[in-house]
Amino acid sequence: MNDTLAGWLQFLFLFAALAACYVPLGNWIARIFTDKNHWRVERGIYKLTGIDPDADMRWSVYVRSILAFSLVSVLFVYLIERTQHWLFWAIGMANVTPDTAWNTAVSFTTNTNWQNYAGEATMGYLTQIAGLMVQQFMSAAVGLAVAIAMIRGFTRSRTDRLGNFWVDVTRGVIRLLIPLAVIGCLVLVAGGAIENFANYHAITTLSGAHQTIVGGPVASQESIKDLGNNGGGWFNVNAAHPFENPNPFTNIFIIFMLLLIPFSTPRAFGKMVGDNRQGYALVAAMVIIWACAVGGVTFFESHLGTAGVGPQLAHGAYEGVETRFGPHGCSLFAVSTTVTSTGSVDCFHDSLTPFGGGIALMDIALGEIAPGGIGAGMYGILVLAMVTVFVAGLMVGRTPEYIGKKIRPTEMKYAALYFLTLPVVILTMAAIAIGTHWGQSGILNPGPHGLTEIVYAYASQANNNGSAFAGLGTGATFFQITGGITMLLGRFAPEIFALGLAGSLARQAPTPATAGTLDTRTPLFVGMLVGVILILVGLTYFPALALGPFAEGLH
Amino acid sequence: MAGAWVSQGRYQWVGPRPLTRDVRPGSGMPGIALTSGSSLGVTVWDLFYVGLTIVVFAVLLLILKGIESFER
Repeated sequence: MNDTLAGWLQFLFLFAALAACYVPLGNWIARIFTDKNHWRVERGIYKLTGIDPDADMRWSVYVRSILAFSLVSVLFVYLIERTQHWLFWAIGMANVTPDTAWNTAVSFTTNTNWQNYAGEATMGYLTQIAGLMVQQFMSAAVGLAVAIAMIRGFTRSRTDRLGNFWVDVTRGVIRLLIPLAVIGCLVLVAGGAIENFANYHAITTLSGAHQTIVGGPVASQESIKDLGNNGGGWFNVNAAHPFENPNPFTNIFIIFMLLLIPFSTPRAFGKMVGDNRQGYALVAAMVIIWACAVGGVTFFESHLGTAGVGPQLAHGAYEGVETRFGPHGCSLFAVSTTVTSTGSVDCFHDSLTPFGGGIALMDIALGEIAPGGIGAGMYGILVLAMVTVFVAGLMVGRTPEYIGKKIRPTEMKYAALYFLTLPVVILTMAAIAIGTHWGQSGILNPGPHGLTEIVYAYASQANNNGSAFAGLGTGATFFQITGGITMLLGRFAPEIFALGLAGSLARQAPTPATAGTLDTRTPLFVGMLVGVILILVGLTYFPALALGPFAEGLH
Repeated sequence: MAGAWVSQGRYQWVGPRPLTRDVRPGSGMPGIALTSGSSLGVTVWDLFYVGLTIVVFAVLLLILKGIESFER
């Protein structure tokens, strides 16, 4: 079978699998968050923690709960990392240094999973499980909870209540993430991923070299790492490691897992607002952007779009690519991990061709809304849908309404704040890094490639993606601190604006659709939404993209 | 798994000894260990990072309060 056919079959199989799960999983997500009854285990948790599950929260109380929970999470993970050597299951690992411990604690609490360390050489089992893996569940559930609260802004009227944060997070973990993670773990183990608590082994190879064989509950972390769009791998090389991702089957299954919940959430949205076609419209826009990105990166990484004699003879740009998966497996993974906020990798993004890497950067710059991170993609695309409705209203004089709610100046101010936060954080931090000697000393590749690496690093952290373009000394204290601040602002500031917007929508009375209302369930709206997304991002990041990957590619 | 390797060479059980390899490309610091050893005590850096965390969350809380006052 030739490479191109294999690539197509891989993509079509993945698309079919995701399409098959769209309705049942989306319906299940909607049911989880509209169910009036609490499960027994949930009631036990509420009783133990003193939570009143029937209390309804104002949007600002909802935000305060998120901030309080996340602050405690950061400090808790930091404490575990800094004391792991004295705790059990340390497998001999020393305490993590303060800057790496802080950056990592922030990274996993914000669902970023940016890693400045080699997991298998830095973290003991207790840190990996009680610190990092717990946050992989919790941070994903927090993102989903915000999306659900945002949807309630459309479904509720004349109220300032958006639900209960603690109930939403508990249900997200108990009813969705844990069951899926268990299934995912079993499939990965069946596929050959390791799952044990063995100590590390040093062996002597046939040629007389020494090698350390690591162990660990890898499959279970891999499962939630992808389902929760986390991305933090057990191993230094992430999903390129054969113990974590042994073969092409596990590779496609991992890609399936990282796209599963984000692509199903629009169905939950449609179900909760009582109009499934609204969900279809949003998921159609997501699929168009994802499919175009896959096609683009595959073209540039395969022999079709690769310049140079070596790559042409090798039938693809193989440098930095795991040969078990090839350029097609790498391209599909690279796009899927950057359009979601996962950041897991099975090949080296720094080795992508300039235009291929540029598309990966563009995917992240889009704000990860196609389909985006768990929950984050949903509330991101809802904000952009409102911007689209507003722009359409300006162009043709239609009333800006979306799902029965008026898009007034107040809502647009929230949407503008939401949209502007990330570019301001990313470009400011990148400018500081480029303009100071602390940042310049970390640049290993000067020129356009170095610029791409810096912009990619801050875009990845602000959007809570976590993948690295690499080639940048981000282990330096300057990058640890600025990166941590970027992750915190990039995660929570947009959530504040999104929930403020949801609160504003919830206070409104429902507005019945009229002849002047733009139908947001049509292909026309889908096309407009895709256009608004691309134009907004293009205008915002075009200078950086032109001076970085485009300049390098055209050189 | 260990058995298969033993027959090919000398088997060695690794005790509690941390690895100090860091070849993650993103770090840009190949060969430099990022683990700190096991020195006891709270360092100035610990206080700095705890303080920095609190400051960033306080800024986020201020943003929230600003929006609340804007709403009123």
